[in-house]
Amino acid sequence: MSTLLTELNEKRYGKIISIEGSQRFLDRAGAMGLTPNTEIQMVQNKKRQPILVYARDTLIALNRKESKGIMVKGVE
Amino acid sequence: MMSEIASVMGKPAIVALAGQPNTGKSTVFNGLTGARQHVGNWPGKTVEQKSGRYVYLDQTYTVMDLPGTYSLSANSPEEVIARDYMVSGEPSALVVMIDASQLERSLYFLSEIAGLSIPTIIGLNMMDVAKEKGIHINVKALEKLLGVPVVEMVASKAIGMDTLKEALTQVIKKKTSVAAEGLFEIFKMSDRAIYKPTLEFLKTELAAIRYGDYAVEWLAVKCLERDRLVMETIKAQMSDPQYKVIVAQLEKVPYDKMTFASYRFKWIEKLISKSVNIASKEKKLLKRSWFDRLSTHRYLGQPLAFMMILLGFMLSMVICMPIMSVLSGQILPKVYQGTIQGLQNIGAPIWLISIMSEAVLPAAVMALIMILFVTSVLLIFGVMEDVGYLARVAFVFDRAMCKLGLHGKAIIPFMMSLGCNMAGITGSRVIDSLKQRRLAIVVSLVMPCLAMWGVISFVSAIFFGAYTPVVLLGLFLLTIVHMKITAKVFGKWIIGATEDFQGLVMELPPFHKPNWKSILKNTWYNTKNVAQKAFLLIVGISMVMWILSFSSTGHIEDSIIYSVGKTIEPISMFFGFDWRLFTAFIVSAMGKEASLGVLAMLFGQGGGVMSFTGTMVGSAVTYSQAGFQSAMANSVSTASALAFVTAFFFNVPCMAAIATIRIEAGSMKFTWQAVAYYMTVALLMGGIVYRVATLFL
Repeated sequence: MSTLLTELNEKRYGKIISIEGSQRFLDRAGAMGLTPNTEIQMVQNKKRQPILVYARDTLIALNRKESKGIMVKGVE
Repeated sequence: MMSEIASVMGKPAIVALAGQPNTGKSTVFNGLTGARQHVGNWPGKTVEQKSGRYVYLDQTYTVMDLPGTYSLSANSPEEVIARDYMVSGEPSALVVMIDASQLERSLYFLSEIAGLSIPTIIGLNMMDVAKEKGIHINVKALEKLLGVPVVEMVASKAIGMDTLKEALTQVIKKKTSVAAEGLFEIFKMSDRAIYKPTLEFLKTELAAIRYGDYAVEWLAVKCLERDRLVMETIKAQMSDPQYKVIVAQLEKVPYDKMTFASYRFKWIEKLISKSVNIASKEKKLLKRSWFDRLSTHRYLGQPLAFMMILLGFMLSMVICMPIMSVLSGQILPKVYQGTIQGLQNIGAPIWLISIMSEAVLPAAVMALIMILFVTSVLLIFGVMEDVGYLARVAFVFDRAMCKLGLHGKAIIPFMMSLGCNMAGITGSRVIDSLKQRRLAIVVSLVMPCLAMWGVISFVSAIFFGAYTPVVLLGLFLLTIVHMKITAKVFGKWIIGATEDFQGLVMELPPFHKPNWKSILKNTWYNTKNVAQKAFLLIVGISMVMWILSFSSTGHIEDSIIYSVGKTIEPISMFFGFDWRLFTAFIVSAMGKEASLGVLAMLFGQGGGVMSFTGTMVGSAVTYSQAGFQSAMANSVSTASALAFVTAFFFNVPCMAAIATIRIEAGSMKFTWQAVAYYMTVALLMGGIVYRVATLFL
């Protein structure tokens, strides 16, 4: 079952299903290692703040608005 | 040896240094070049350019530090510059910095270079951190897979520098570049070889395109990715029908950036699986220290950032305050007296005595203080940046700063400007994008510094009495409006920073201990860069001010500025300024501390100096407080005083600030644009306040 990245709870793992957004965002996210099938860990997800995810050994801060373009599947 | 290399190269050896941010690129740059550095701008671009030199085995190498970018996708000027330079044929070799502890992500950059014909070396940095994390890299295997030398490095401890230099001489001779066949194979064969026909077609069609030095497969892949620059180049070099054929072919296959990015990571994962042994493949929760968690905390992150910035500001003050007070409080007055005495003894003319003691000397001292201050700010905030804290500040202030079209780190110059604008402007150094940095600088100038309040409280006490808090509240509200308008005006039209602005997608580097050696070196090179420009600019402005305000009789009525002020008084009166207030406004762009002295002279109360610049020598001007107050009260209306306070409040902070803008923004043109904008807007605001006030007062 897939959900928005912004709905993934803290400390949970997820696998990226798809990413949508502006070309600029896609380029940047791709270069940071956020591509489909990448496993991520939600590190911090608080309202009125960018979210923090951990992927490919990197802690990445993501704008809340743009992270809504990322769909993930929960992984145990 | 030397002639051998020279003959192989046929041109001076230029080494381009590239890689993602936080891979230790600047540490390697400093390590290679030492103090032989030059900072400028890339031709025609708002991007800082750093270059330097080193000598190895009698051969001189020029090192070009390319902007640190995560990819080469042509979305920002930094990416375009890095890529254009790599394919330009100018560099003899390329060093790509890779973070061994974050291999996957930092190899992405390499995947975009694979296919360029430039001789390449990989600097595998942070080997110590990787080992700690249990990542064992078989360097020999990686070298074999990539076909280029891989140099193990711990740049912060200068480990691997000599090996890198040696490898560079070799690679320039052998001209080995990154083996890209594996990558192209993945593009061709993935997803049931859906892109294979298109790539083969593009390979033949694009064979004649000249864009730079690369394998044609590289161009075909970039074309498949519809890279903006590559598409433009192809369009320009082909006939319309030919180009249409290419586009038609591209439209036959699905276009998804993410697919292509994942192909690149497929290549990377393959490389890693064949050369890296990770001790534990178990999934582990990322461990963050309590401070790391606090620094991004929803409620406490911002107060912590405020405290850290304040602490940083105070620490820089602690470093230079004692020297500053001795310099301006004790040494300056003595040297000032000594200069006058000395020049009088040799019978120098009065103007020479005045220019030396009142313009050159105090300006030089001001420049010295500025250099000292800038150095300590750079040092303290350099440490905070180095350990990884400032990325967290950007994170917690992202939302607030975003509203002004600014990077979260802009909070640093803003806050520091409340103490001193010069410190704030220097603090903007932590913003990597030069356009974003310029925008932060220009908006930070709205912030009132501490020195401003001396004059504001003096004038308020005379004219506004109990209404002073109302005036201050008004100024505060105007500050917010001013910031918003300035951010818009400069962001949109003058700098064009808003186009480059994108939502936050940023790496928060892991916290680590400061690399003192590298920080100290960096600060020292920066200081050297700052010194000369600071002296020239501050002494220059001071000289102009001196020429305008010098009078051999000590009466202001005998100066040029008096005639200028008197001539335009009919116009300036429209804004509520008589010639004295107008002159005081202009001169306050020189410095806020000296402004009371200048006002005293203008109102016929100050004595002891022959020019306004002389007021910079704190003890040189003498005036009686009471006489000064009554002179002002008697000849200035409350509406005019209100207009003056407003214009004064929003004027350019001081000469040192102007010099700092020049240094941090890297452009004289931009510096004067900012100065002209601030002086004009301040006058206009004063004028509006005056006109409104006259209706009521």
